[in-house]
This record gives sequence, structure tokens and C-alpha cells, in this order.
Amino acid sequence: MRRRMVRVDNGHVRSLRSFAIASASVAIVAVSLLAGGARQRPASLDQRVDDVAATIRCPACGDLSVADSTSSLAVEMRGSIRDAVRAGRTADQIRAAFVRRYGESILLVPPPNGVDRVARFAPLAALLVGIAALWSIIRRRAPAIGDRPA
Amino acid sequence: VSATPITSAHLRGAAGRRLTLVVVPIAAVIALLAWGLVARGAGARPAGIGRPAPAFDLRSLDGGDVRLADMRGRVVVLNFWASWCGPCVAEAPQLADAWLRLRGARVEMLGVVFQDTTASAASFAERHGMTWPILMDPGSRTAIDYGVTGIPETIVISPSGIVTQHEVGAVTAGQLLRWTQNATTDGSRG
Repeated sequence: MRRRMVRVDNGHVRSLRSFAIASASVAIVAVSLLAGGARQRPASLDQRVDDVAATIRCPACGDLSVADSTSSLAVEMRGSIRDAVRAGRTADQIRAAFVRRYGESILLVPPPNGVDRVARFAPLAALLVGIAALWSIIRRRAPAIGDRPA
Repeated sequence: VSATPITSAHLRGAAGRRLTLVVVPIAAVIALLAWGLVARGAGARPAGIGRPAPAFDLRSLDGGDVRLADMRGRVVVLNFWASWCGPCVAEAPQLADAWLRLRGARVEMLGVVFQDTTASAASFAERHGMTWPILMDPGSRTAIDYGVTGIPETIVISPSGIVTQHEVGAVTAGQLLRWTQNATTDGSRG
């Protein structure tokens, strides 16, 4: 059996490599543009309604959002949100309107108030106080080097 | 070298300082939590009280249009109810009693039907002697505007259009008389 030897021209290899790199670059740019386009595409009415509804608590069904609950009140509230979106209100404006009607508890994640902010740092403060207390006790109990009996 | 003798007063002072180091942070955390609970409790008051009453324009069972804007200068009692609601059955005679005493006293009482059919609401209203205007609320838009979470719920609006009372659950005639009187006083102040 005769082995066939193919003589490869260096210039040909270089041009093939350049073509491959150029193709890959074009593909990456195209995919990026398509993905970017998909991200920038405006959300549909249903999507915008769902986005707001997911942040509003159904007042008659515990911790379920208006988007997740199947209760009749939640269905009516989704309708109210849809009306507001259609009227051109932003998500924040719609949430603010619900807060005016039901109070901040209508939001699944209410904005933190002063107590919440303080409480968030309370464990860290307690830890620091504890370390300081421990340090103070250890320092007081350990005899100074000069005080050691000869 | 003269050493100061350690007295019981010294020991008491050291123990006191140590106790303070433990007790003060614990007391601070407890006070913080208590304050948080009280603050949250205060927020449980219905949000609409003290705010302008949302406008509405609803069709009554007898076919007329009823607008809140047309009732300026009078106290308005809005009662949200449905024929399928058990507590509404018990509440109906109290509302009827209050209506007998309040009508003509610059007080409007309006029943707003919550998630019910016109036929069921009309039948219920007739059976329970509800002679005040009964309004249909398609899509519960008015109920949602007033922050209604269930029924029965009753809202009192002052003559100047401010919500002065929002009661969750059945009300009595006595409560309605008192609240409408208070709303009149609030309105004359405003």
C-alpha cells in the first residue's frame, strides 16, 4: 500500500487559519448582537403585568404573590395591574398605588425601615461587643510580665 | 512596693462592670425588637384612612349611575358585601337598623357587591331588606381602590371626601352611628 504524502503549502495554511479566525469573530459578533437585541426587545404586556404581579402580595392568601395565587381577588388584582400597565404607568407607580391602598405589607419585599437596617447590623455589633468584652476580661486576668514573682 | 489590697468593693465593681457589658447589649437588642414590633403593629392600620377617598362611578341594581363626586358634603358609608358571605347575613339587620336612623341625616349608605352576580345580589338585598342603593363593582376595581381584602368591609367617608374609618369584618348599627357622627365632626373641621 502506498502512502500518499501531501505537501502542504505554508501560505495556504496561513490563509485557512485567517479565514477560520475571521469566521469565528463574525459568528461571535452576530451571536452577541442577536442576544443583545433579544434583551433590548420591549417586554410584552403579559410579561410586564407578570413582573409587577410577582412583587405584589395577594392580601387574601398569605405569602403568595398576585402572580402565583389563583384566588378570585388575585385574579382581579392582576386585571387592575393590567389596566394600569395599559394606561402607561410604570412598575414603580403601580406598586406605589397598591401601597397607598393596602399599606407596605402589600409588597412581598417591603422597603427596609430604620429598625430593619439597625437589626441587620445588630449581630455584627453584638459580635464586636462580645469580642471587646472577652478581650477586656483576658487582659485583666493575664498578669503583666513585670508583676510576675521572681 | 505597696500593693493595694483587693477589697470586696473592688470585686463588686468589677462584677458590676462585667454584668453591664452583658446586660446592656441584651437590653438594647430586646428594646430594638420591641420597637420593631410596635412599629409594625402601627402599620397594620388600614392604609386608606386619612387619605382622599378614591373616586368611583358604579351602576346600581336599579340601573342608575352612582358617583362619589356627587355626594360631596355628605357622609358616605360604603359597605362591601356578597350573597355568598356568611358574616354579611348577620350584618345585614345591623345595616338596616343603622340606615333607618341615618337616612335623611346627610348620610349616604351604599352597598358595593363584591365578586357576585347581579341576580344573587338582588335576591339577597330583597330578602334582607337592604333598601339603600346597591352597586355592582365589575372586576372589583373599586374594592381594590379601597384596599378591600375580603368581606364584609365598611368604609366611612367624611363630607370633605376623606376616608375616616375602614373596618374589616361585620359592623353593628351602634358603630355606624358613632363613626358617621365622627366623620361629620371631621368634615366640619376640614
